[in-house]
Amino acid sequence: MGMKVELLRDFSCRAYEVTDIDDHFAFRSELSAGIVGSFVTGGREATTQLASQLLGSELSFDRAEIRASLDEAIDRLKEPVYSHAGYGGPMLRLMAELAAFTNQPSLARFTLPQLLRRRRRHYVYEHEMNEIAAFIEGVSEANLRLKKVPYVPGQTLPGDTERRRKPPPARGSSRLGWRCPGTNIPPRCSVLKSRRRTAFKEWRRPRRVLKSGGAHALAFIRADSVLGEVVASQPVEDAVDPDRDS
Amino acid sequence: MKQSALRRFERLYQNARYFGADRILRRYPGLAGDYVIPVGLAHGVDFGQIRPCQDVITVEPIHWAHSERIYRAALTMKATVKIPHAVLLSMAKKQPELGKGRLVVGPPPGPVNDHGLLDILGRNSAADTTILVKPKARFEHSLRFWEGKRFKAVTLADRGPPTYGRIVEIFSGYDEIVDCTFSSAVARRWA
Repeated sequence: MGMKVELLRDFSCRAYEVTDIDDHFAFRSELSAGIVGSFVTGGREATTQLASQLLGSELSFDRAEIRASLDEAIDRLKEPVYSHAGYGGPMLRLMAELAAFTNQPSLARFTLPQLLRRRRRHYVYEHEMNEIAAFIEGVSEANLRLKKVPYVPGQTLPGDTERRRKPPPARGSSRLGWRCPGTNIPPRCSVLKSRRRTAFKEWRRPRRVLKSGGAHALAFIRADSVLGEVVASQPVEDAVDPDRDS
Repeated sequence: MKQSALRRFERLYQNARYFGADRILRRYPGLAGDYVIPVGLAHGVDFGQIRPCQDVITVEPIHWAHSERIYRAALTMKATVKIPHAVLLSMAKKQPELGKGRLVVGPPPGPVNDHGLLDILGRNSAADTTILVKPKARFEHSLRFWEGKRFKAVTLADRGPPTYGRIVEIFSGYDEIVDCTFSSAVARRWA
C-alpha cells in the first residue's frame, strides 16, 4: 500500500501465554532477524518489496491455477484431518469422527495424555517482551522477562494481558453475608472499605430507628445512591485490584 | 478425498473462517459457496519467527503457504498449497487509495499495554493520531481508555467479525502507520 512506516523500538508488550515463549519463537533465527532488521533500517521501496515477497506476491494469481492446485491437494488427501498426535489409520478416523461429533478439533490433534495435561494446567507464563529488540539484538533480560505464575481459572487466562479481578462472591457467601442493593462492591475490596462501611452504617441506622415501611425503603434508596456514586466515580482502568501482585 | 466425504468434517475446519479467509479463497477462483475448504493458514505474517512455521499444527489437513519457504517447511508435516496471502487476494482487483493521517496499531488490549503505549506516544499527539485496538478479549475497555485520553480509536470488530477486507479498508484511510510489535501483522501493512 506504500505507507510510511515507523516501528516503536522501546515498547514492551505484556501477556499471559500457555507455553514458554522462548521455546516457541525462533529468536535466534538469522532469517527472522534479517527480515525485522530490514523493516527497521531499510528504505520505503526495499520494505515494500520485502513485504510483498513475504505475502506471496511472486506466487501465481491465476484463478484457474489456484483452483487446480486446491482441487489436486484435496483429491490427494487420505485423511480428513491432520493429527499432530501421530494417530494413523483407523485410530485417526475414529478420533476424527469423535472430534466432528463433539465439535472438539483438539480430540484429533492431541493424544489423550496431552489432552489431560492441557486440562490440568497448573501454571501459565506471564511475559513482557520488546519483540522488535528481541529479534534484532537477540533475547536478553532487557527485552524478555518471563515469570511462571499459577494458573487461576477466570483470572490468569492465556491470551489476556492482565490478571483479571477475582469474581465477587455470590450473595450470602461472604462473612458478612450482605450486599447493598444495586451495588457490586466486593466485601474484601480495601479501597472502598471505608466508604462501604459508611454506607453500611447509613443503611443500618434508619433501619433500626424507623420501623415503618416507607422510611425503610427511603433508607435503602439513600444507601444505594451513595454506593452508586462510589462505583460510578471509579474509572475502570484506574481502579486498583487488591488481588494483583505488587 | 471427495468434497462429499469432507463435508461431514466441515465444522472442524475453523482456521480459514477467521478473518473471512475461506470466503476470499472461494470467491477469488470462483468456487461454489458450499465448497469445503479444509485449509489452515497463518493469520499473522510468517517471517520465520515460529518453528517450523506459523499455525501449521491445526486440524486442517492442508496448509495454505504464501511463500516458497513456508511451503517447504509445512510440507514436512502436511499437504500444502502455494497461494498468495488472503489479504493480497482481497486487494488483487483494486489497489486502495491512501488517505491522510497516522494510524498506530495497538498492542494486545489491556491497561498495562495501553499505558505503556501512551507513555511513548505522549498525550499531545492525540489530535492527529488514531489507535487501532485489536479485537481481543475486553478490547472495549481499551477503546474507552483511548477515547478518554482524546485519541480517536478504531477496531476491526466494529461491524461484526473482523475481516481482511476491513483491515484493507481501515488502513487505506491513512498514509502513515506506527507499530509496536512485529509478529502479529506488521508486514501486511506494507503490502
